[in-house]
Amino acid sequence: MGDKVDVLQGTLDLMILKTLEAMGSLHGYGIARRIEQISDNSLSLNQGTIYPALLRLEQRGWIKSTWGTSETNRRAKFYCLSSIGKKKILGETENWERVAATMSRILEPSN
Amino acid sequence: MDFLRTLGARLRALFRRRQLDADFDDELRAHIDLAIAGNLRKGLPDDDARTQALRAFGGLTQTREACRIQRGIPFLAQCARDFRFAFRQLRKAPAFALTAIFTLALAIGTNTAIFSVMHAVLLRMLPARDPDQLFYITHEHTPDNVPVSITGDSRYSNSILLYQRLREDRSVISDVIAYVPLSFGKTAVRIGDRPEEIRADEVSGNFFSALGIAMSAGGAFTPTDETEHSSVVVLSYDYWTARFNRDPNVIGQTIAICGVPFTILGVAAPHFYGVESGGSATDLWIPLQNRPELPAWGVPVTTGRTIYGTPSWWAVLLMVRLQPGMTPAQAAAHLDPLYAHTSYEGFAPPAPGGTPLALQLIAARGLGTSNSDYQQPLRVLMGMVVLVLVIACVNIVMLLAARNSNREREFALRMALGASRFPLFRQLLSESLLLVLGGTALGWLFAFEATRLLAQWAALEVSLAPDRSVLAFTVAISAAAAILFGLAPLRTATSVPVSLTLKSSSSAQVTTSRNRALSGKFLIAIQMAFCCVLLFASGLLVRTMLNYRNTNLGIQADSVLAFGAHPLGSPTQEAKLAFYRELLARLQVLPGVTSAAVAELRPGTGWSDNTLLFLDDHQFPWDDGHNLLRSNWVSLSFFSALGIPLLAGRNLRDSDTRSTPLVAVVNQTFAERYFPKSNPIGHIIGGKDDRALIVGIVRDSKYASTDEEKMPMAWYNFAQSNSIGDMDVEVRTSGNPLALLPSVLRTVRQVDPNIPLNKPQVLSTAFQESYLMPTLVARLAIFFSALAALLVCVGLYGTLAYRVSRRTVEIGVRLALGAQRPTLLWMILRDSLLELAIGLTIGLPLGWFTARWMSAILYQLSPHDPMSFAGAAIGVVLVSLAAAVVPARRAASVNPIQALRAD
Repeated sequence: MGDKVDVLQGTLDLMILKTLEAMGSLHGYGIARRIEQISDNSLSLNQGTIYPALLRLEQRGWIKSTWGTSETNRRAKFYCLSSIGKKKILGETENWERVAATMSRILEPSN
Repeated sequence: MDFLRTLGARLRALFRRRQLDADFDDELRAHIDLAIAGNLRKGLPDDDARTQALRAFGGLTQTREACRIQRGIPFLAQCARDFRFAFRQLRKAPAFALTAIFTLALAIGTNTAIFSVMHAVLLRMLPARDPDQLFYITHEHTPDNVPVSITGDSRYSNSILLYQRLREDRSVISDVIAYVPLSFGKTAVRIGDRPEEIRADEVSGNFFSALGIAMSAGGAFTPTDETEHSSVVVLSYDYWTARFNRDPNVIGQTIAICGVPFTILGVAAPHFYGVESGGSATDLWIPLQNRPELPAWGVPVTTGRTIYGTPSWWAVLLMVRLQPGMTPAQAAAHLDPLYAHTSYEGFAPPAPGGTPLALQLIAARGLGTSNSDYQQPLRVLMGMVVLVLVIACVNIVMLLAARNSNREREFALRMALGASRFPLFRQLLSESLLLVLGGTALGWLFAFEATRLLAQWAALEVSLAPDRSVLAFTVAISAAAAILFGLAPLRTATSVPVSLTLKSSSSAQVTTSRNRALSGKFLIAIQMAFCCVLLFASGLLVRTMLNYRNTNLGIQADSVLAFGAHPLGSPTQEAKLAFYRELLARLQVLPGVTSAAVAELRPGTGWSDNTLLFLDDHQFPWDDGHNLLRSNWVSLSFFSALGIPLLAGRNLRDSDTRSTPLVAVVNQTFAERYFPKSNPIGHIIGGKDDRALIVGIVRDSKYASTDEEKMPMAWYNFAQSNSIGDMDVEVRTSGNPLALLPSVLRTVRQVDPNIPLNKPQVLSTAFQESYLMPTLVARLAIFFSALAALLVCVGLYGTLAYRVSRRTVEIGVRLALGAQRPTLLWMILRDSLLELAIGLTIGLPLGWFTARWMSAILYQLSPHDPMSFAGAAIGVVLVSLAAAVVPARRAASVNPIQALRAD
């Protein structure tokens, strides 16, 4: 498994958006657990760090929130993608892929 | 777009902080719960489940903080916190806060008041369309060898011909407005059956349209109104409010002006006081008239002068609107030939080499042509106010510095614990801002009241209420003050070595840091210097006022009651003569009356009739006004009533009537100037129409104002006049003139029950009005210097008290070691003496130097008057003594044991 790597702020936003795209409506714990599962726990993600990210995304209007009840019968906030967010995912994904492609080209031994 | 949405979300969150905090707590609780539940499912024991959950989460508090910062606008929240804290701190020190706020309020208030007066008096534009294009027409010279007679003002009164010719020239002027007051003072009107007196002007038909004044109700004049001399009238907004309660049904009602019925056509827009220079408000306007009942300036047509009929009578006041892009200098240059040509129209052309006739255009702002009267005094006042402001600011800086030096330990501790300078600066700035806000609010209220009082004292009827530009000025001063005060304590508070402060005891210092003490001393010396200058200036101004008051008028003005009495209707000359004769006869026999007389123009009111001297059929040249003869028509009892002794020849006599040759009595100046070696009695003055034989010489007296130059004067018997005007009655009493007013009123009523007394006053009051401005300036100067002295005294007292309290331990130590009390007292007060010396050294020469600027408003006083000088120095010394008494006593009575114990 190796050391957990730190997560950049922008990538966390994209992760949250993709998670919500796949899972629909989810609360903060659920989003954090899902990201942990997908990454096989290789990311050093303190669960608490998604909350500032969620807040940021909500302020931008990319995700919406509603109040519901959690599985343990507590009042919890459920997030889902907004129409703006759905549109943004494509753009953000492209950005990320472009950056990743450039990085891999730079890191490749030159021929 | 994202940015805007984020900003919106953050702003909204500002108002729901508590709710959002609670919501987030719920969210976190739900999260932890779910995490615990998950861990329990995995089989962990209870405690471990919780610990693991928390560990996986990370820091709860950090997350909460991060979200809180993200949520609102942290800067605003921080500022709000700073202000709340500053407010609590200030509330704990009410004496300091109140002193600072009041000092600021006084400084800002006086500054605002003077500035708004200056703005209204010198700068404020007419509330007209494009007011910077409006100019008054004035001239310096009248044509030579033309029998021009001028009524109104020798520089601003023009001929009707000039008005007509200017209208024909469209190249530089787009509109010409003519206006003529209906009287020198007030005109009689009657609404219903109530008579009253108001200020009225007759104006050209384009008056409102050319100026661009809208109507609040009804309509304005048209050019036809002028050509037809219609009987319509437009009221001013204030008059409409005061007299008709803003009743919209006044349109169409009738007012009788001097007995002639006029229909109310409209009401002008609010805040329009007319175009008269000098701060008086016009109550109503009528179109230019051509009827004998409404002569221009109230000068009866029996004098043979009407505006339209006598082009050589210059009585029309003119204002022009320049074409866009035209400068006043260009316009004046273009119009000079027209003016010259018009002045000589109908008369022989001027000889070459005479004085060139030129026009000057004076901007229609402030008080118009009276601006120059107010300019210099206002500048002096502004200078004084600035000094007061500086003194007040220094006081507040020292107050703040003293207060903050007590908190040095707190600041040092905070910096030792890791605070940067910025939060400390923010806190100090918040306190200063709160003080400045409080001071500004209070100062603004104070300014309102002050401008109202100022307007009253200066007899200005136009509104002086502070307006928007004054508000901007106040805010600018306050902002500058806030930043200045915010920075001042910062330097002292944060440049202190932290370790030194923490080591030393909380309230007292055994040694005094030299640097800080030096700047404090310098500030106090500066305060004293400015206070010295202010005291010196007030001394000069007060002595000027006293000089005015003590000028020998040459007449017994204190015991003379003067009032106007105008017979109503349009009586004939004989009727008028009989009226006044009867009135004088009745007044003469009243108990308490020594003698009674009439005069056409009341002495002391500034009005005078001047003509170029004709002596023995030789007309004297203009010679820069040197050969003007002032004249007045009086009854024969005039000289005895006013206490002017006859020096030679005879007085006017009853036997002088319309059918006997006109006689005149002249004054000493006339005799000395034109007959230095011989006797003027027997010579003839006057031209073709008014030849008079000089029969007597009287002693000189002041005529129009207290500070006038000596002028040759001639008095004629009013019984010989072809046109007796509205005469002023002078009654010499043996006791208090005003006490006789009721019986005088009854006597007048006996002759005619409908006549009101026009502006009754003691004659000395009339002369006092001629030096109203110096009186006002002197009063204000006293107020400012008293204020400055008080501020300096309070500031000095505070500083000394503070110094003594800081050095209490030091004094105790020295006493314990055997020092004598007088020596210690000297040690404490030595600094103050040094500051006093430096203050005087700076202040006295500074005062000497700046006094030269004031010489224009001084009267019979050198600007380097030694008495004022000495007075200023003594004043500053007294202020220092007064401030030092209590702290010195406290220092002298320090108990060494108590001082050493208290730490």
